[in-house]
Amino acid sequence: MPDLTELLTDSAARHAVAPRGGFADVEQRASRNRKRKAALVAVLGSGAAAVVVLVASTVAPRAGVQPDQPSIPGSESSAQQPPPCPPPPRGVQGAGEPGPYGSGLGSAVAAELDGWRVSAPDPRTGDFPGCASSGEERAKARAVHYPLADYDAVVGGRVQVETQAGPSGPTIQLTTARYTPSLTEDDAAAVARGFLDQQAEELRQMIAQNPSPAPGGPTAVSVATAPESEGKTASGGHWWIYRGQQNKFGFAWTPNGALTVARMDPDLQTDEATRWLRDALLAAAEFQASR
Amino acid sequence: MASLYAASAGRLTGLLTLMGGDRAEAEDAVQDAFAALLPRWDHVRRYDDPEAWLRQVAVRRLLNRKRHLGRRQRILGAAPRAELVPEPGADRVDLEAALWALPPQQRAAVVLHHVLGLPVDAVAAELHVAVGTVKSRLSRGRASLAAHLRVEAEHDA
Repeated sequence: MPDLTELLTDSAARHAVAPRGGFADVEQRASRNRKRKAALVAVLGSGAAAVVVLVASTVAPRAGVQPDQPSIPGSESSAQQPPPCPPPPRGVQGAGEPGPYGSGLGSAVAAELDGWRVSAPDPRTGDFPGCASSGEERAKARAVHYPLADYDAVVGGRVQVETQAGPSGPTIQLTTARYTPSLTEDDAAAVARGFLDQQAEELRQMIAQNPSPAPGGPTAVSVATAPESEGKTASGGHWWIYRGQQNKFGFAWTPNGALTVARMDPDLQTDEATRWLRDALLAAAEFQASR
Repeated sequence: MASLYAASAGRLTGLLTLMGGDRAEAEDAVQDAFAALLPRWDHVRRYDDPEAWLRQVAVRRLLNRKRHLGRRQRILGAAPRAELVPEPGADRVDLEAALWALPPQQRAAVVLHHVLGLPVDAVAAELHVAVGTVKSRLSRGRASLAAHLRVEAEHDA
């Protein structure tokens, strides 16, 4: 019988495969680290909370194509959008350009940043723009601040994700909140974009490694709650389960090229923010793919 | 540095996969360690063994994540593991299952000592613990493995 050292050495050798992403991924991580450190430096020494909101439009499924539904318990379609939000309250004026919801909440600042619209929260209440137009809803919105340990450790950031019916269809807001002072818009945006970029890049790489069976990429997109395991869908698609550092998700292609993305983090299954984040992942992937 | 990556990344990933029981986390720790090395490369490249620096950073990140993630780790530990390498034989499955049942610090000591062949004092230095602590972890780890696998435990060097 081989001894313990031999067995362990052999096992380690069997796992000795270079990480996915290769050295290019290392360079991307190093770049993100530099941005985070720059954001950290920028926030040292001040007082008021700074928040930015990134808004992107979701990409609707192509007309005439219906995604097959995967045989995953609890799956749901992205067509099931939350009900439209009430109009934002009026009378709260901010500086800068009007935001996507008019001149009310969330319109304080608007700046184009590589396609992401960056805006600030209501300076009077500190609330995020979006559906939180009543006191109860505002409290709910504040409660879904989505902690990301990765950013906590470096800049103490939080990412919040919301969906809302905008003037041109459903929109997604990704909010980076920095409760340490003097975070500039660019710095806060860099934090949020870093998160998005990381998510989108992971998803993009997964999709690139396992391309759509249909020519031309995804024909439709849907989302699902966390599947239990890797396996076949009823229509013959296949789940690839990925367990990344912070966010676990998988995806499946159906034979007609419809893409289903599922979150894999069991901590988040019952949290409404999970649904928003899934949508955000899709939007980020589409955004990345369009660049 | 790209050549160091080509030479070391796979080996480190294998080591950390064995140590942590999760390939995705091992990849993250290795990639993060290389990302941390990048801005320090001009300095670390002068070391006799830059891979040792990488290994220390990666192992520390892996163990810290294990320690801090708490509940999340316990939940994920029960989740199905994505298999990204050829399926090993039954003896390896048994071995790795037994190894991953060890507490993380014991597992780290066992892997560093038995896979890398580091002497006890070097393991202690890498893990920032006393030599006696390493001996204790090795002894308990081997006893646990032996109980699981009936592999005859070796004695400390």
